[in-house]
Amino acid sequence: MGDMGDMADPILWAGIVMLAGAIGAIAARALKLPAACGALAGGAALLTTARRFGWIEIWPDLGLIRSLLVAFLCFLLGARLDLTRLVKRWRPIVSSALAQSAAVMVLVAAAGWATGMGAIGCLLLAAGAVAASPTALICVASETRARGDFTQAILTISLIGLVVGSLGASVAGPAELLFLVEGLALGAVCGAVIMMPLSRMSTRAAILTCVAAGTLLLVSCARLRPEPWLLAPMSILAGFMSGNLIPNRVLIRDALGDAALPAGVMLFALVGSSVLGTEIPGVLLPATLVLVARAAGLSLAGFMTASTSQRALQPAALLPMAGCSVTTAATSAATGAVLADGSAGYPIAATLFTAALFSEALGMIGTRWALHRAGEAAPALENPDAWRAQMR
Amino acid sequence: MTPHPLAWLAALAVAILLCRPWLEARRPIASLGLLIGVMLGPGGTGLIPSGLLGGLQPLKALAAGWLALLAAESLDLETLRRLPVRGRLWTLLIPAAVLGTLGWFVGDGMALPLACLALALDPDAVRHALSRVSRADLSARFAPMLATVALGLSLLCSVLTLQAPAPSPATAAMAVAHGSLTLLLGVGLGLFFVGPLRLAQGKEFLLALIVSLPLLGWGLATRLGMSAPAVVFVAGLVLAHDRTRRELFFTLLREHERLFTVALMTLTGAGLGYGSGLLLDARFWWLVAALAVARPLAWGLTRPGGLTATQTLTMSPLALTLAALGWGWQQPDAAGGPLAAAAGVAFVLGEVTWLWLGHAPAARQEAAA
Repeated sequence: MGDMGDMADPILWAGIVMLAGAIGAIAARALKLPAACGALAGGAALLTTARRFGWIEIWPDLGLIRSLLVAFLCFLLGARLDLTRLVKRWRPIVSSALAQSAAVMVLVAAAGWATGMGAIGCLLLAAGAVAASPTALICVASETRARGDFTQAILTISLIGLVVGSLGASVAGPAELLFLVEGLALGAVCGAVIMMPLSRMSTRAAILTCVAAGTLLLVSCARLRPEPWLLAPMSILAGFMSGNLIPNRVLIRDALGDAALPAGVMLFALVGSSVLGTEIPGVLLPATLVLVARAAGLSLAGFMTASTSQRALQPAALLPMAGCSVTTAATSAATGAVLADGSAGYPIAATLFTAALFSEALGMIGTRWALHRAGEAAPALENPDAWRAQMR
Repeated sequence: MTPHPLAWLAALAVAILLCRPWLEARRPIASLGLLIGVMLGPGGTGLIPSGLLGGLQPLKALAAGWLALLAAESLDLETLRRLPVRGRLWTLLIPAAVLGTLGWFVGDGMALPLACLALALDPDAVRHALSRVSRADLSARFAPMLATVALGLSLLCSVLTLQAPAPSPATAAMAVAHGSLTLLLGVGLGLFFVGPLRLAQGKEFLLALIVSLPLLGWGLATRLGMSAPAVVFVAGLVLAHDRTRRELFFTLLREHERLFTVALMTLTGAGLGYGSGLLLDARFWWLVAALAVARPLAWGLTRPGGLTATQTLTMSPLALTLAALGWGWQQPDAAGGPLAAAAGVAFVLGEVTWLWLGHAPAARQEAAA
């Protein structure tokens, strides 16, 4: 048994977490599971072990590093969105996104009502469950090197889901809507600032350096505002501008794509190592209900709007639930406070947190399966460079 | 006071405007990163607040550890054995002795840190300078290797900078014991990573694993009061001898060198602790003179193993980390103190002089042509 806070040094703890995540990712690859899944499990196993044996009781806050990784992955997601394809296929994508948002919101709100929440509580719960996890989707898409219309569709739907979720959360305070608009405007300005040097970069190292600096800028801007959850949409918007509006966009996508898997492994290892399981048992039933309702909503929307070949694939691909929705709901509900309709804010955030945790861990398997079934994943991961050259 | 995001963006736009001619001239960006860090840090405009800087400590450690690992790239016993100038390796110690003597005059236990800084050459700059010579002689061709050896020695000697300055036999014995433990920790860390590195399939997985190595080494060394760059460097030496994954391992490190150099320099610049009192501090000016004037003079007059004065002008980015380490043991709360600030000034001066000496003749030739 070590002393309390034995490993509380942020650098040492970060190193141990990264190692656990990397080993988990390698093990997951051996089991043909998504690497991010293994990293999440590795981080969680480390934390459980450390707490069980008393190695650590107070651990350092690595939130800034986590935010940087989220911003990087969201930037990559934005850069991967292809404006040309979206212009051609915007109708089915937008209709799918809106249909799945509506279906998920209705069913999740019903699940919340069944557990005894008030109207505002139900709406917050529903808004928090709408978005698919952008980081999980981009991690799996990058790992499988998926490219094509289906991949573009699910990445875009996750972005629309984030915006819809943010709008839904604005019921708790109309100022949220203003914050969203302001945040997106700030993201556009950041994107323009990042694009200036990025358009002149011709090597992968220079591109990565420039994007890393841009990520720090995005995180700083997001943290200086009262609504840090806007980091994901801001980063996606900035990435979208860089990935579509400058001439060397193909090189940028390639350079960032190579760094996606390590960044994803680090992010999910950090997420896994910061999960406090104490609140999970108390909200297990509502969280399960939310998950079931969300899956049912996705399936219903998929059945109504997706093409016959993608009816099963689209819901499966969108299973991972956005972790940032937890922050959205928590901020909106002012955690711990009692809402106007009598619902308590804390259980809403805890329910969303538990649901997001389970859906991210298991949902990534569904995403990977869907990308493979859609025929857009790399056929031979053993020789990814040859495959990438062929695709180019 | 929290700065407004627009202030951030304005500062970044200015930084980009400053960077552009620098990048177009294909000049090293290390000193530029340092200056931008100073400008944005709490001592400058305050756009990087100290809270944010504290949260980025793991990133700084990762960047410094990355470069320390990379420093071990070409150092393996076989290469060293084949080095034709190996008989003259001892001459590398002359500049270290000169700077050590000057440090002894400064007092405050500055002798060892200054000796370490004297050895912290930049092998890339040496390589670059060599590439501009049309017909280099045999010893000049091995100059980059010598610079690598000097940098390695500097990192290894940094284990001694963390010891108490009192020159007693007991302290010396403790220093040797502590240094041995540091090296053992590095060897253990390197051996620990050999297995997982062999298991990792694909360069992305390897990269995810590599990230944890400098962080783990740095964190362990800091926890045990040892020299973190030395621990990570020794782990790199062990991995440089693992023939199975050596090529891929160091290729990946090299690919991301620029990213981590810029990150390290910017964060170091932002974290430099200085105030108006620094300019009135005689030690600061003495240290600047030692590093910016006496150091290149010592190298230029000694010319060990074919290293020219121009090649030895620039310091490795790790020099700033070593400077902070040398000061940190005596004043843990000080953010670098005069030694780190002096090393920063000497770094920028060295790089600018090197650029001027290296590019001015070429520019004149081009103009004449």
